[in-house]
Amino acid sequence: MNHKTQDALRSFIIEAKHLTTNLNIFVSDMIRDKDLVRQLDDEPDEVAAKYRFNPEEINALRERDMLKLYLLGLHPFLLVRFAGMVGILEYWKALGAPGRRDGT
Amino acid sequence: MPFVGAVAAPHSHLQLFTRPAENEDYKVKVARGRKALGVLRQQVEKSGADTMLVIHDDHFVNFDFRCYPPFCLLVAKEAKGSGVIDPVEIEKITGATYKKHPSKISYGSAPAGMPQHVSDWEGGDKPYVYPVDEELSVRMLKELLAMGFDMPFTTNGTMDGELVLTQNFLNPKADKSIMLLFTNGYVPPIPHPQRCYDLGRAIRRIIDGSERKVLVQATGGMSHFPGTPLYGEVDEEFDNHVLDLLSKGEAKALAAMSPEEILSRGDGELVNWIIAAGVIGDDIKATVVEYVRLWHIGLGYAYWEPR
Repeated sequence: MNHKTQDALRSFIIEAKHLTTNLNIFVSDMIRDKDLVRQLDDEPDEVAAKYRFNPEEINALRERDMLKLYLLGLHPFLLVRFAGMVGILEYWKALGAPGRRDGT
Repeated sequence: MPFVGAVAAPHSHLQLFTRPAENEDYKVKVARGRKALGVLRQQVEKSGADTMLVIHDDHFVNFDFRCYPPFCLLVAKEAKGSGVIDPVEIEKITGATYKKHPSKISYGSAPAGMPQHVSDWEGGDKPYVYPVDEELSVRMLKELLAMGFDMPFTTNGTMDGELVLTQNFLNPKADKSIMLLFTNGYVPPIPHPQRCYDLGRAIRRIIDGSERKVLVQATGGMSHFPGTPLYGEVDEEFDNHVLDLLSKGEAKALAAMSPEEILSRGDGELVNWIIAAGVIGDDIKATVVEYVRLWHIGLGYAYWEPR
């Protein structure tokens, strides 16, 4: 693993942050319950309490901060689904990923 | 000779769905991949298989963070799922026929903007229905447990769209029964490649004791980094190394890799291929049909004939 790969994947492969955050339970539930998108925006305190989110987690969700969510342990596959559900189609731009190499 | 061969192919939904932004070169490469799937379909037909044992990493349809097993065997009478695009379009491309539910008007949309194949939102009204080799599934479960593999089982045969896609191409009339072995290929920690290989060897012993003619199908791969800051990177060197090992009959070398290594190369789904390699056994050379690199994924296609 080169340094660039190591750094980019550390929180996911080495630290396995996804194992200890409820972000993934929440997004798994979103897939099955579309009303959770509305609740996230309209009732964030209730959502935070129900899923035991800390302020950093609920803020990252509300702000659709893809890179922060990734670093906090939102699993990459569920991050893609979350992005789709909140209307971000080319999520990789928000992550700063290389994408198609031509800027798209 | 109940083991009648094996095939390995990607399950990327982008083999059927092309984003508007993609260029002509991309479309040509996708066409090469589809042609390779045609070659694999011929191998499936030539094998005379009764049953296809499909090894596939679930995409958060059957499992989520409440429980994510390293392996899980389906025990059921049937498995079913939705395609990644409208069934009419899939039939045009692959020839895959589908079940038309009288009460269902459209297969083309899902709640909350979700791709139709991601969740189990449709309940029972799924267009693709496959008979499961229930008897051999039960037998395999029992014998794996007796051999020391603590194999979980599920009775929920929901297939994600990527899994359905492979069957659209390789079992288009659903006239072969299937068995489903789900794996964890993308939720670290993933199962160790050596354990995968050993599981494959155990499965082979069970298949060899069966009267059914079984073809093994591994889905997934190769290098890709969806949902990470590396999306768009593809480790072609690693992909070609894997295909080279397989073509030389050195699949056992894959078992010596660490879980972190295959994940860091973007190919955690290689666990599916390594289980298949264990079933196939040592020194059996793969025929590599095709490898194409799209901007976001390497797609490899291979088959094995039994010795």
